[in-house]
Amino acid sequence: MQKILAAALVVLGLAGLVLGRLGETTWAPSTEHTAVVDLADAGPAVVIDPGVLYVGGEEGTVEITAASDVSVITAANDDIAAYLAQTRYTRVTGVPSWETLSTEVVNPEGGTTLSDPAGSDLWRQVETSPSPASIDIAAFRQEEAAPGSEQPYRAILLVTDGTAPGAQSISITWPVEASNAWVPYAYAGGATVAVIGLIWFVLAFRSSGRRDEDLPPARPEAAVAAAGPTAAPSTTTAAPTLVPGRDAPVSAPDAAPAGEPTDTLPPVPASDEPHRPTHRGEERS
Amino acid sequence: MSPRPAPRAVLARRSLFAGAGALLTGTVLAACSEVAPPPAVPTGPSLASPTPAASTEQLAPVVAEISAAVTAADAAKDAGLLAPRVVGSAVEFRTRTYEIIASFADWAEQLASYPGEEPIVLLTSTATEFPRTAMALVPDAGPSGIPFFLALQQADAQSPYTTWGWAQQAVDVEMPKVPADSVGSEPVAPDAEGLKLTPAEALSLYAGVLSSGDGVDAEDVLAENPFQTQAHEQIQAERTDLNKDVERDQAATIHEKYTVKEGDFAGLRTDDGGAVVMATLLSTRTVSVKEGATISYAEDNVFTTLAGRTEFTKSYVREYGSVVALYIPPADSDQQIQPIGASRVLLGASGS
Repeated sequence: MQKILAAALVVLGLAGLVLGRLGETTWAPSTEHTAVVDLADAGPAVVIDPGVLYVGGEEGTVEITAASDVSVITAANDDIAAYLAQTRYTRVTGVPSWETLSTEVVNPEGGTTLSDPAGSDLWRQVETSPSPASIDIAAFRQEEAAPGSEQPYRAILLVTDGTAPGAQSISITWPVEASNAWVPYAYAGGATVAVIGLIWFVLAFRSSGRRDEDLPPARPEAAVAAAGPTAAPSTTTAAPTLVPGRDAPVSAPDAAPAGEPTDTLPPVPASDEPHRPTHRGEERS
Repeated sequence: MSPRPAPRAVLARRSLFAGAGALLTGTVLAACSEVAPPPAVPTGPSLASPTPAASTEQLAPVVAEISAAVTAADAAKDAGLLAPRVVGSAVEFRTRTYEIIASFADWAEQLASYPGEEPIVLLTSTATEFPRTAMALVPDAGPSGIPFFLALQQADAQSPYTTWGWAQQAVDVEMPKVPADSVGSEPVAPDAEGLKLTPAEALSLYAGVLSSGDGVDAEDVLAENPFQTQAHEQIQAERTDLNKDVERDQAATIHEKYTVKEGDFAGLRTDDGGAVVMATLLSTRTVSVKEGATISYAEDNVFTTLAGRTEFTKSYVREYGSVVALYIPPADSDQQIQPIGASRVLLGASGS
């Protein structure tokens, strides 16, 4: 019995190790987060609020798709707001979950066209490229982080030609250094339990061997004698339950009450061997 | 019945299983915990001190486009090509010059000097409100070698920077120190305090002195300057000419009256708390011919061509527009108000 339980512990321990391995591989969390938003009818301009790019850290990429060439513009944040004061546009305001970006429509009653939006004297940097345009977040942050003169985070203005929507979809991808926190525990726990089970198994194995040696020599005769008269009835009645190749212990609990004399010992020289009746039932494993 | 196992062994076994079970449950529960949601949008650092509303990189192309617009318009004699960068008085003055050239070809030499493309010094404003002001000192696109003060203004967020005028720098006059373009300076309004005179008062005084001489400047706040000297010398010379061979002013009197044009104004603080201001002065030089006298010119000049006559019996009027630049010291300074630049343009002539 103890060996069964010890073996079960070993199996449990091994299962823990397997779980840990799975946690490192198949069940490992993703190495990047990508937050996406599809903008329907965004207005001629889209503004990404300052700091949104850095929600997942100061590394990553922004990808912007639009119907035509996209101009990525930076300027004083208030200047962008002043420029768009009469225009209906969309702001990307935050990252509510790692998969989405939140947006807000500003000036819903405002104008829907801008004339030559990339040409305003207010803009500090204008980069126009065909869709999809991309921004490297680390490089973008570098421009603000000149040592000794920290600049506030910059908003990003996206426009196309002043009539088509400023952007059709924006996705921001941040790399993630993540691993399942429980993997080391699974490994440690599994190893510990397996080792305990193994030790127990060895101990159980050795104790049961000792028990067998301590039993009186007459016991095997009694067992044979007991097995003899009962063999016939046990074969006739128990034969359907006996599975070839299975250990005798499987049938032992059934067979014991049926045929083996468990409560009387054959006569032995009382002075030589003390009785150990308490463990007998279990020693028959 | 099987004998019961010893209680200590049972306890050991059960606690072992309990421990193993707890360990596994813990790892499973840890696995089921969710990835942390994204943090709020970070706000980042804020600016320690105000910065210029427009950087050098933003203004340099503006100056270049202004110069290019004037070049193109002058070549075609078409004031329409000045838009959108050149507006207001600058367009008016250039248009009049083209009209004069149409009747007097030699006047085209007036077009030679105008602001060049690459700014020498940029005066940028730190104010973020509109309209926004800036000034540039730019070289002469023509042969004179004397730079121009260029007034720049952005009316609102949707408009480009434009210029309404430029004034050529005065020669042999000390120039004030201005903050670096990366630092920027405060804009100054016509009624700004803290100066020797408010800019509006200073411009009025200058117009008065130009019209009527130093006598108007009782406290001698205004310094000598080439523009004033030249203007007065011209008047005197013409007066002498007109009254040659006669007693003083018996043939005609001559007077030029200057007024400050409303609406054209640019002002920025200097390093010492003073201000550089630019404005437009309109002037009318009137020759009033005395009863019975006749003023006649032997040869046609630009004025007679414009007036359409070489003889005048009543009056003979010439109109000018001048863009001027002044340095006004702070109130507690003992320096004088110093005109530092001026450019005059003939606007028309008439007479009878």
